[in-house]
Formats: sequence, structure tokens, C-alpha cells
Amino acid sequence: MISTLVIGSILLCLVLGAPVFCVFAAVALWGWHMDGTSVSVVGTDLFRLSSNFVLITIPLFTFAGYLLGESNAPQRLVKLSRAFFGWMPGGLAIVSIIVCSFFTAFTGASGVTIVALGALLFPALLQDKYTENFSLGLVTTGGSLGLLFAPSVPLIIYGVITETPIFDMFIAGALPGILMIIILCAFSVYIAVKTNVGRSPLQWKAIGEALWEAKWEIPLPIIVLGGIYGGVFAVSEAAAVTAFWALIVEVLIYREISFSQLKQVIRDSMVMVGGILIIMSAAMASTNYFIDVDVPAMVFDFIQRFVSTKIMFLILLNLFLFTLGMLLDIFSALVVVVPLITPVAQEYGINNVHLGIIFLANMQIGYLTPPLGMGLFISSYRFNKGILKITVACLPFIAMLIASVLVITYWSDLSLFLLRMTGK
Amino acid sequence: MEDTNTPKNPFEIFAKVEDGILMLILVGMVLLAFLQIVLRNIFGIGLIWIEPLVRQMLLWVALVGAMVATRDHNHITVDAISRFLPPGRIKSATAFICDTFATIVCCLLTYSTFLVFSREFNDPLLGNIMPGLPHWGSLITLPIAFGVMTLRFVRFSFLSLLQTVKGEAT
Repeated sequence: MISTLVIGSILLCLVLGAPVFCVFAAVALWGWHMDGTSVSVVGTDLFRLSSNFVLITIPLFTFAGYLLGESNAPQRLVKLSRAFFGWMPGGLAIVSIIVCSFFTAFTGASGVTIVALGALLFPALLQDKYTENFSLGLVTTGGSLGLLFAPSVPLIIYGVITETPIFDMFIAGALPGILMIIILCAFSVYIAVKTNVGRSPLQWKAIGEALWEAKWEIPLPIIVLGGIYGGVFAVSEAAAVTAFWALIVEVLIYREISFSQLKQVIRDSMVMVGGILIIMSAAMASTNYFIDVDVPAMVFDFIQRFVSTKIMFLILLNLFLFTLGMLLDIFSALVVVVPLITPVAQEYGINNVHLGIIFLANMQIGYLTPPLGMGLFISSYRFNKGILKITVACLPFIAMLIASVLVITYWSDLSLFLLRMTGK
Repeated sequence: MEDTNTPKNPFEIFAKVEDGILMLILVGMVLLAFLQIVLRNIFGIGLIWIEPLVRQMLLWVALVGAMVATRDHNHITVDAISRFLPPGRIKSATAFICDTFATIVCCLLTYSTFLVFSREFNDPLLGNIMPGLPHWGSLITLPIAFGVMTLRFVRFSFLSLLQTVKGEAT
């Protein structure tokens, strides 16, 4: 009786908007208390945050991403990709898609992409005679594109939670991520040709200029991605190099970030990181309790009563994750749901790595779906347009993304092919 | 570079110190992690205390980040309902419930983490993280951080209760 009441109030607080980490911690505290175990177990679980070295990639990459976002790197990046792709039909749209993906991979779809790049790309798209709806939809969608590429933080968190090597996640995300980009680019080219959007001629001088301006930032993705994918660096080393490089380049070489701005960047990025990590550690504590009382097995028994085949499970999984993405932010969703569904999915013969890609691909759509898609709100705030208008503008893009999620879900080789090539 | 607004009361001074610590830890992490790579790849040596220290710094950065997030009242929440509530009594009452809940949980976490700290302090089984830094030295940061968060949530609860009673829009 009391137990139902307590669990009920904890859930009520979650729905009313209490900090998510408190909800997880409350579940763990109450669970262990009922179990007759000392609540110091929770304290020990929280301390475990310091036992996983790979977690240092989260503050380091996030810091680097925020730093780049605050400097003039977005301008240089847009100029550079415009010089390369501007001559193509739909050139600027393609530029937006690629630049946004790159940025989101570094900042983890925290809204930084829309804030930092939206202001640049949106007016430029309008100037190039793309319709307002298309431009809005594209920029908003861009805010969560690139989640599947290294070194995105959600990929890292999934790897940490499921004890999958981060490297495997980075490899597996590549082709599905590229698929999304290709589909969106093809759509953009189609729209551009249909509405007769102008193109700019290819100018070698412009390319040279843009390359020269960005000369200090170009090595960054080469070092990071080349280092990780080429096996030169461990992921944690790549994170350290990225953060160090970004710090030196933006603060000391380009001198675009003053000392007081640097303080602000660190504060903003670390509030975000602290918020994520505290949820993660509290979730680890509650997961420990759930596993102790065998919740995953109960979930599996329950599902098995209704779902017998792998395909059926995948269909339900898609629907479930799609709904989840509408209601929860990606980090909370990851830490709550992943520990419970991975054992279940394994019983249905779904590869852990593939499951992670399905999960994140679904969650990415959640950023754009009403009523709670974070991308919609950030975009509405940034461009001063109503939520409804932005939602409508995003609809065609959501349709494209749903199509790619279906491909990603039911064609597991797309995620696993490269991994097998590396001998796993 | 001088900050134009000098801190006036103890709270502002504490906030400045907090921000400063956040900065120190993060820059420290970046430099130490990078130093380790340089040492390992160029000089073929490694300092064994860097990795455990950086791992502790990760915990600290998370805790101080969460403290600052609490100060800003900016934790990740499910805002399915709160986002659509108009400012007024009901919204303030909801905030009061959530803040009180957070106060209780943080208070219990302070207690729980303090137990872990005192056990290790009285009977150091884990040993040192690095020369001069015993494990309990890092464990103590947890009850401190949750203690500060508790106090901050107490303040928020009090403020939202006041607003609920007065019925003023925020």
C-alpha cells in the first residue's frame, strides 16, 4: 500500500516536471530501502561515475563543440562547403545538411546546431529563393541530423550503458547516418530543381580562399575521424586532442573567444554535461536495482506473451521509440529504456549495436515531433515563428526520416556491414 | 580582464567560486589528458596517476555542473505538463511539489553518499587515487555537492510556496 503510494508520487513528480535525476535516485533509494539494503548502495553507484574512463569524452567533445559554436567556425564552415557544393542544384541546402550533421555530431543535438548555424543558414537559404517553409524545416531538421556520426555523445552514452565498445558504435553509425543525409540531399535537389533555385558557379579562387581561412579547423575532423576510424587514437584520446586543439585554435590563434567568453562557454557546456552525467549516474543506480529484482526478465515475459517474431518486435519497437522520442529527451530516454530493452531485444536475436542505431535514429525523429520535440521549440525561439508553422514545415522532412528509420531498422547489414569489415 | 560587476553578497561570491572551479577542473582535464597523449606517443612514457585523477575530475565536473544547473534551476525535466501551464497559482504549486520532491531526494542522497564517504574515511580500503589524494578525498565531494543542491532546492521550494500563497505570476 505505502509502496504503491510512494511509487505513484515519484511518477507524479516526474510528470509534473521534477528533475529527472531526482526521479531515478528516488526509485533507487526507495527500491533498496524496501529491499532492506543500506541506501549507501546508491551513493556507491553514484561514485561509479568515476570508474569509466571513456566518459571523459562527454565533457571534452561537448566543450569543443560549444567552443566551435561560439567562435566564427560556423561561418568558415558554411563558406567552405558553399565554395565546394554551391554550384550543384540545391547546393545551399546540401551545404546546410552536411554542415549541420557535422556540427551535431560534435555537440550532440543539444540545440547548439540550430542556435549557432540557424542564424547563418536560414537567411542565406531565403536569399537563394528557397521557400520559407522548406528553409525552416531544413534548418530545424539539421539540429538533430548527425546523431549517428562519431563523436556524438548519445552514441557514446549508448555504448557506455550497454558496455558496447564506443568504437563499434561509431563504425556502425556511419552508413545509416550517410543514408539519412543522402535521402535528405536528394529531396533538397528535387525541391531546388522544381522551384528553380539559382546556383552559384564553381570558383577555384573562392575554394582557395575558404580553405585558407579555415586552415586551422580543417585538420580537426581529419585528426578526430581519421584518428578514430583509422585506429590511431582511442576514443578518449581523440576527445582530448579535439578539446585541446579547439581551445588553442579558437582562443589563441584565431582569438575569437576572449577569456570571459571562454568562462561562459565552459559554464554553459558543463551545466549541460553535469545535467546529463548526473542523470546517467542516478539511472545507473536505479538500473542496478531493477536488474537486482529481475525487471528485464519480467519485461521480456510480458512482451513474449504478445510478440512472437523478431519482425513483430521490431515494428513494436519502432512505434514505442517513436512515441518515447515525442515525450522524453534523448538522454533520459537512453538511460531509462536502454537497460530494460537490450536484454529483451537480445532474446529476439537483435544485435546490440544495431539496436543502438535503431534507438538513436528513432530518437532523432522525436526532436521534430509535436508536442514535445525539442528541435521545434528551439527553432521556434530562434527564428521567432510559431510552433505550428515549424511543425508543418518539418513534416516532409519527418516523412523522409521515417523512411530512413524503417530502412535502418529492417536492414541490419546497413549498420553491421562495416563492423564486419573491421573483423567483428 | 576585469569583471565589471564585483560580487556583493556571500551567495554571489560562492557562485563565482563555483564557476571558477568548474573552469579549473575542465581546463585541467583537457591539459592532463592531452599531456598524457604527448608523453605516451612522443616520449613513450606515461604518468600512472593521470588517468585515475582525470576520472575523478570527471566526477567533480559532473557534480559542480549539476550544482550550477541547480542554481540556474536548469535541470533536465519532463516538461510535458509544465510547459503548457499558464503562469499562475497552479504552475507555482506544481513547481513547489517538484522542488520539495527534489529537496527530499537530494537530502537523502547527501545522507547516502555521506555514509559511503565515512565508511571509507574510517577504514580506507580503496587506498590512494594518486600520491597525496586518498579515495575519501574524492568521495567527500559527493555529500558536499548534494548538500549544496539540497539547500538550493529548499530555497526554490520556499520561493514557489510563497508564490503559490500570494498567487502571483512569475
